[in-house]
Amino acid sequence: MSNNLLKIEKLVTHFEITNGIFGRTTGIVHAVDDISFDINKAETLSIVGESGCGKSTTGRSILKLVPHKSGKIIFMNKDISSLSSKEMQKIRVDMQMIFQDPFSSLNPRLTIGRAVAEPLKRHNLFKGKDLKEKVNELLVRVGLLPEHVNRYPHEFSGGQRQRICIARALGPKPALIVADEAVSALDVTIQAQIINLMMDLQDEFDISFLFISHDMAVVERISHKVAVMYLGRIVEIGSRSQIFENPSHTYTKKLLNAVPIADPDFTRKSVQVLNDEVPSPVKPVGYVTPPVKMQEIEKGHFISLN
Amino acid sequence: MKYLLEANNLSVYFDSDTGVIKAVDDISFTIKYGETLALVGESGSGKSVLAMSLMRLNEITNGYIPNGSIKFNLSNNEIVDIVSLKDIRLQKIRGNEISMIFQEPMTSLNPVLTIGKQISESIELHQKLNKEDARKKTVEMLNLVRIPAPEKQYNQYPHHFSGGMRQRVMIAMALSCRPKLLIADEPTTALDVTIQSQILSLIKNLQNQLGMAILFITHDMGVVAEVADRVIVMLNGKIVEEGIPKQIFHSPVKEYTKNLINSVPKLGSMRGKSNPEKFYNI
Repeated sequence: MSNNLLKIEKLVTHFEITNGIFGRTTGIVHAVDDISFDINKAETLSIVGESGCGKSTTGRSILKLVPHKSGKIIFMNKDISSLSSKEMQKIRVDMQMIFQDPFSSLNPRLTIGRAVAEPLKRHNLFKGKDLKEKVNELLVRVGLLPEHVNRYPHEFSGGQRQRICIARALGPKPALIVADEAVSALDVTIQAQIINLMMDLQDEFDISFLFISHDMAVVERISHKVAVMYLGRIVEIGSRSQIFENPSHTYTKKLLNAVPIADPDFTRKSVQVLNDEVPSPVKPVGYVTPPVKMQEIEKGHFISLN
Repeated sequence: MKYLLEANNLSVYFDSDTGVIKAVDDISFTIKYGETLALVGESGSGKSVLAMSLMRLNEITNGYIPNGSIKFNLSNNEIVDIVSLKDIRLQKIRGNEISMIFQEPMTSLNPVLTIGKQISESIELHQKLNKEDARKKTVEMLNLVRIPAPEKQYNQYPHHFSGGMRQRVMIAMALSCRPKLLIADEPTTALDVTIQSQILSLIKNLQNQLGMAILFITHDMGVVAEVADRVIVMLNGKIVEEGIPKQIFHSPVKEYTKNLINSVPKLGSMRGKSNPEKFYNI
């Protein structure tokens, strides 16, 4: 029986840039430009990269929150690439998302009890007294109290709100949670607690995480596998130890070298003060990106040649 | 004076519906000439309020200093107390002897003025130069922060630049009058990590060139380890602990500091480990 949960094959997501009153397309943003990767059960794959690399768009494309242009998304052995919104409803029980900003992720007019209950009601998983009990159970599991159920989001801190979002995502017992910069906006001590919580939940419920982040140090802690993205492509992918102990693509090395180390005994190799501007992912209409060429440099460790 | 800046029993309060908020609560510290002092703390610790109080910028948001002093050694060796200084003298110090850069360069730069004009404005004001000389100095500053083709970029607007470039413009503006103290409030937090390392390098180089002290506010312990000569840890308006980086990172004394250090993921710490690992002792 396959251990594979999610399989992404040659995913492409482009956005059109339109101009003028006729809405003429003047350029295409190659946000995600031919990427492939797998996530197994109870595994965390992190996608790292700097702003504009396409990591958030990847997460959204997988959840079908934005339409992808081409490529396959195979989830729990089912090809969900061309499913309609209605058909996706059933799939979404198993696929949940946590976003970066705990402030805008929660409806300020819903009590947190109702916010956590919403996906359970939507998918008809619990009703009445059972629903109430389930909500209480979820809140306690993420470190909040059942009494909090009738409070509103603004009464909680950022870290607590993120816990509420996790409780909400956890309810439908998803096989996969896409966490898009889920801890980036949190204070470092809170961040550590939330990360511990996510890892406990993975152990307890066999949840897989697609962890999207720009923070290499956090990624090193929680990942089984890591994919490094740059300009819409995966430039390197492998196990966590392969990527961090044997980074092989020039960009990965550059990225790792730039991360400040939280240890005063460590002196970084001197960085050239260049004016490195990231080239734009915007291409003219009609531009066809050459297909990705990956080379396997050790088992399971690939780097992009183009 | 032995120190460039000496704050004693400094408090910054804000009045609110629920009473007085003691954002900074009776703290004392010093900044030595040419040193980089890192001010760390989580949200609500009071670090940004403290930074702003050094130039009395809290008054804009109805903050006030009920007691305490901030002694500062001016370039002409006169020692002034910023807390009790008349506005007209304070204005001569802001942007000139003490300068500040913020986290969001886009909101700190005036969007309707060219970047060249914004920088030369500050130079004209503080250095009493004519327009032409101020322009020349501005181009020099743009060069100093390694903005390519500075003569051309002089006429560009902030929205033409990327985040990293805007931050360089901010630095050029802040350093144009060769301040003795630069207050940098999370200057690289909004930047990509590769750009961050370039900006940190740039700030360090300029510090050495200008012999400037920096009060570096951040929540990123990695940045602290890299830039700080000394560290102050704040919590709820008070100083919890201070020391040199080695002390803070390797032998923290207070519970809060220990907790903080244990919560920070350190790149390289997972070497040789096959499975992901939780944070312990937090």
